[in-house]
Amino acid sequence: MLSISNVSKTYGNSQVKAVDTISLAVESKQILGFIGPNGAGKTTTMKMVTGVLEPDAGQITINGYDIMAAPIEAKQSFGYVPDSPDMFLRLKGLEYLNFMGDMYSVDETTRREKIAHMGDIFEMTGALNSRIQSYSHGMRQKIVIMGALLHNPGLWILDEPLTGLDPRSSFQLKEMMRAHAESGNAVLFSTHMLEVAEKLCDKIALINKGRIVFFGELEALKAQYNQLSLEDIFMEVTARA
Amino acid sequence: MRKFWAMFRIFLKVIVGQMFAIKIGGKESKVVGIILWGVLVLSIAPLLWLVYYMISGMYTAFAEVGHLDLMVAMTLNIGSVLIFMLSLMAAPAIFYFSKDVEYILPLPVKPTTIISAKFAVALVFEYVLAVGLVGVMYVALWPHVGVGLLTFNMILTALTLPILPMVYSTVLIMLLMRFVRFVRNPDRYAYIIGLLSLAFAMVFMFASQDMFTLDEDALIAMLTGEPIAATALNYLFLSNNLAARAIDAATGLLPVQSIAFQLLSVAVALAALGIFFVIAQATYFKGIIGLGESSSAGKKMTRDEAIAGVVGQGAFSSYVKKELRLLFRSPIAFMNSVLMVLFMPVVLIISVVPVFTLGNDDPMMEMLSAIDLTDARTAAIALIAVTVLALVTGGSATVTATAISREGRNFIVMKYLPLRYQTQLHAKAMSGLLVVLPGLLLVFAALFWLFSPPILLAIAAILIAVPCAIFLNYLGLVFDLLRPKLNWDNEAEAVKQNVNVLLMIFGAMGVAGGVGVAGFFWLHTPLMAFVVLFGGSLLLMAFALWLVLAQGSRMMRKIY
Repeated sequence: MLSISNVSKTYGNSQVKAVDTISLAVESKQILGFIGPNGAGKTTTMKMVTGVLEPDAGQITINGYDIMAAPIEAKQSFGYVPDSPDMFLRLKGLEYLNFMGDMYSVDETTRREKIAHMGDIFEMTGALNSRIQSYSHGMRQKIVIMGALLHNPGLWILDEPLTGLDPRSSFQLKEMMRAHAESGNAVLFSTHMLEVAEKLCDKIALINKGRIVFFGELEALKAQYNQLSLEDIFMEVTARA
Repeated sequence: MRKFWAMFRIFLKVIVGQMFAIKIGGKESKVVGIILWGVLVLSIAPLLWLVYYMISGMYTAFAEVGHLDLMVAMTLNIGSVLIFMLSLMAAPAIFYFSKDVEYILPLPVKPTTIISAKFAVALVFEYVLAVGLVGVMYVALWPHVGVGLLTFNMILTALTLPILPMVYSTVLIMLLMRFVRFVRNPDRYAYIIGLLSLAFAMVFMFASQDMFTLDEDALIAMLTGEPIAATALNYLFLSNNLAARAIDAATGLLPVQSIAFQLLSVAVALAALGIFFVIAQATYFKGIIGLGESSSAGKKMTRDEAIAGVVGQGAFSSYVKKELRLLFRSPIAFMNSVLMVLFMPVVLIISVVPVFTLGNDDPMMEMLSAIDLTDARTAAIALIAVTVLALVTGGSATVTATAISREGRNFIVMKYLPLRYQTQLHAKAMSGLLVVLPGLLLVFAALFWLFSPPILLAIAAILIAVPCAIFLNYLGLVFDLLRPKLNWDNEAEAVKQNVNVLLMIFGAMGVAGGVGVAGFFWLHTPLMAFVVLFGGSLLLMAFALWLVLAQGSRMMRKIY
């Protein structure tokens, strides 16, 4: 569903590559956990995947559409939750969802079903008449997730989606991610919560200083490191690099 | 005291840093910021000269009849009212809505230290106005008072002038924030104060027009006749009254009396400060608690209401609607980009209305009735004037010149939405047009009402003005695409401290000036004026549209 091939990115006149010739893929029925220390290149990669940034080299395809050559079709194929949920703060929750529905051409029937369903799951229905400005960080995160999933995208791209969520919503989102993958779709998500990645992901991409240091199944990674926990492996890999 | 100075420095640095931080080519340039502020200060010089010109004449007239103190008190009172209004706008940002509050409250610092540091920062800005006004007064009073004593009087007057109005405004704000839940929302507060200030500015403008048309006797009668407003102001700003008496005593060569009055004036200001601290300690911290939670939470929605509220529409109209909602709900953007467009026509209409109450023999009425729009040369000039007006009105509409900047960090949403960049840009331009065109329509309504032009001339004027407005609207968007200011903490940085806005306003004025002068000399008949101006405005509109259509996507891709 997502293929990243030899992608590099350098910001401005910097000599250091923020992302250095990385390649990875997310297949259907998979959850890929994208982990790495702060400044490793996770958000840069996600921004390139979503068309926010242009790669200097390499190719990114989503559902077979090149993000540079066919951006509209590629963008229609995923739902993206950025790392900061502070957006459109002066819109009301429902206004935001209607706007996102219009942008992704979601018909009214589907929109009603999805808003009612996700509103129940995230306990957000009551707050939909209020401006996003009045929401807590967690509520803002939830409304952005609802907006991103409204058009039922095959690929979910979630940048730190669990940050600020209450335990119940966090649990629900993880369940939704699992169900989404099992129904033949795919999820790419970045996180600092290694125990979540360990439990939820089918594959792990470990990035450090712009380079992918491991990409594969979790079991393979553990086998490589004498069955250490993901946290221990993370500490060792990032300290060594 | 060390903690006070440390806090004062930090508060001041944050505000001054924001004021001077102007971004050029993605880099912050304080030098450019300082130059721009310097230009702004220089542009105030003619205003100061005008104030000097008005008050020096009055001081001479009033000194001759022994009423100099009345005029001095009035000047100081006007300054105090202005400081009061400015402080109503600025103080809440410093005391309540700045993001520093939640970090400062847990610090081991006495409440009085925090209050006094914030008050001192607010005071610094009011001193700019106080020094300007008192400086002008100082020069105007030279011929009447000995320089030595006058310098002493004026230094102390400048120091005390902002204190009373600042105390009144901050106490008022603190009481409102403590007891009136409705104003505890930054957006709502900004709307209320912004509209009040605008109304005040208009009342002040017309009142001062009336006052300066009074002859000297009528003015003295007004000031000595104890009118309610003047008397109230003298009691309200007691320190001004005492300072004026000090100056009056100095003119009468009574130095001891003068010094005594001046020191009394300082004592009144210090007493007011003391009262302020007592009230502030009792109300400030109680008012600030829970401020973040009192923002616009609406009525709780039920599942059925949410389902019923789902409305689908086309992507373009939905995008325009979103733009307008954000524009009208942001006080900073609304005041600067929307209200400014409507301000000019409203002033025009208000100034036009009294004309109709004048008699036919009034010189203004005579002048207006002398304008014959059926005359070819006059009609040509009218079309040129309309073009100039359309360009100036279009230039004051900074909706599109800040359309990208206002996105701030949300700009990435424009990048990942599955909607062509051109469509998004046209939607932004449309939101700008929906603000400019009604503004322009209001101007035209006022002009048509005033001059009753022939129908063909009226149609020609509209045909020229609309492409001009569209041209400037798209041009503003191009400016903002070329140098957007996306990295800001406070929306004011994107709207008010944005070079694009200045470029737009001054650029439009420059073009308008050029068109006006060239048109006056070369376009002699209405047909020639129409063909050239309509053709020119169509060409300019086409050029700006082409820029967005052909280059918009490329410019968008360059921004990150």
